[in-house]
Amino acid sequence: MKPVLSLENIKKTYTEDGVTCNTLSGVSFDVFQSEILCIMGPSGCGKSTLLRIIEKLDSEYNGSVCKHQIKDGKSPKNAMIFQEHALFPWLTVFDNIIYGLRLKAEDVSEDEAVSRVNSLLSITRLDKFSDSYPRQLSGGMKQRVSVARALAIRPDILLMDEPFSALDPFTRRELQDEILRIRTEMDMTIVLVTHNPEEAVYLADRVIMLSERPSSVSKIIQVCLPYPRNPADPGFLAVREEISGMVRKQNTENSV
Amino acid sequence: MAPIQNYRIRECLKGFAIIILLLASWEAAALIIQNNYILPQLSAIFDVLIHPFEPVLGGDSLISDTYVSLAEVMSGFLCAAALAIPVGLLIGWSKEVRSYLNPVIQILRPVPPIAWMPFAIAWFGIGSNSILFIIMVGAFFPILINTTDGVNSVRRQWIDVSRMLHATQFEIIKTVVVPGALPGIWTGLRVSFGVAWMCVVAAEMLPGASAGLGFIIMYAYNLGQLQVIGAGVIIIGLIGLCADMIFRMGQKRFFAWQGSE
Repeated sequence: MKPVLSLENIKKTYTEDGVTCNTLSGVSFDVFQSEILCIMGPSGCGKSTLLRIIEKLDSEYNGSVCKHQIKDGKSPKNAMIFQEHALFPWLTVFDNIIYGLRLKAEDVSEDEAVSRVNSLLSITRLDKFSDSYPRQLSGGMKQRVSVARALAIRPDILLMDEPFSALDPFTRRELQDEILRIRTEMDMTIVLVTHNPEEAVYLADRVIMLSERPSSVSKIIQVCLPYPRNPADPGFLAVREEISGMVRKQNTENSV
Repeated sequence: MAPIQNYRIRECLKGFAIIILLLASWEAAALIIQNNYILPQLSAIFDVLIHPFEPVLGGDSLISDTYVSLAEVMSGFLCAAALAIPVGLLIGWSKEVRSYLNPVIQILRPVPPIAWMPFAIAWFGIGSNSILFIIMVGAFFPILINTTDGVNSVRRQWIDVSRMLHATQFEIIKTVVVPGALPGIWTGLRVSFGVAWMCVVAAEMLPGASAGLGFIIMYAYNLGQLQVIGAGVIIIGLIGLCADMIFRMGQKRFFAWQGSE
């Protein structure tokens, strides 16, 4: 498999109130094309920070993030979905989704942008809410809008920071299925941060476990189950138990 | 009728009851005192109010004085906004600019605008230019402070989203910071219009003014025509109320998204 993204020895320290804190102490891994990679680890281990570093929202770190050329020699394009939907409340659903396409960075004509947004509205089943404002939507719908907004710029790599953690289980499953569908349809690579073992096993090709702070990669788990996965399946349960066990172990070590 | 409407009407009636009570006490006191130089009767005040187009005390009409004051407020207010909004955005956006400007702002802000009047007269001469300057000083700070607060209330995540989609610095300001700060700016405009309205009346009361509601009030005082003062005060109050209501309606209409997160 071809890596699209390589992280090499990422180190990050930050200073708060004069105390220097070591969050990431040399994290290295590859992200392969078209895979779903889940990043898990105890809270505060710097999972979200890793995504922000990949997305270039955080530039104060050591080490290197290397993007590899993909088809026709282009460098892969990222987009990110945040834990809180972070929609612009003064814009309609339509205007939120088209936002990125109207920036100078995306060289897209208005007609092309509008047709892309319209197709995303139907993919995310938001057609009827095109002119609604975020405040008029449910939590699940808001997160769908933010998925559509990220997809609008046609990213090759989609970074997701606990995107479904604020949703009820039913809506969460619905959106997870949607992500799986979109991944196949658009041939995307997804890096997802989650603290939910079931979510990781439901979605991921591989799960990367980070150790507690200062964190590094403690284990990489291949999830060799066919899609669509059934959370009641014994194979599924076994992997989930394995991951839960590791999370539990880290949490106890944490509290000792 | 819907219960909610009933409730609103009842709330309104409570307010009106107090106004009527106050007016009745005024009228009763006026009838007892029987002295137009201390407390004019309401009928005398309303007599002035219901003839807004007739010359008052041999000068201009109430309407034309109101127009003069409003025109002064509008121009001073707009100049202040044109200056304070960009500066406020800059201070809110850049820590560097804030470090430079904050101390001078904090020193100047508590100074009552009218305190600048002698300087204003020295620099701009007697008359409307000085009044304009006072209004600008008064209107400037509320807009500035609220614009800065508005920028600071822009959520970090909105800016992250914008950066994630590769917006330039200018695009971030244009598409996220300004719209996000707009409710704050609007609050600043509302507060500052109120301040400007107080400033114009106060400034017109000072020597050198020759028209305006403040002028007519002072002029009427010198002639002992207290019913004109009463009429002037009522007009000032009503216009202030109207302006505030318009701004509040605008807030509901344009910024319904605020606090909906």
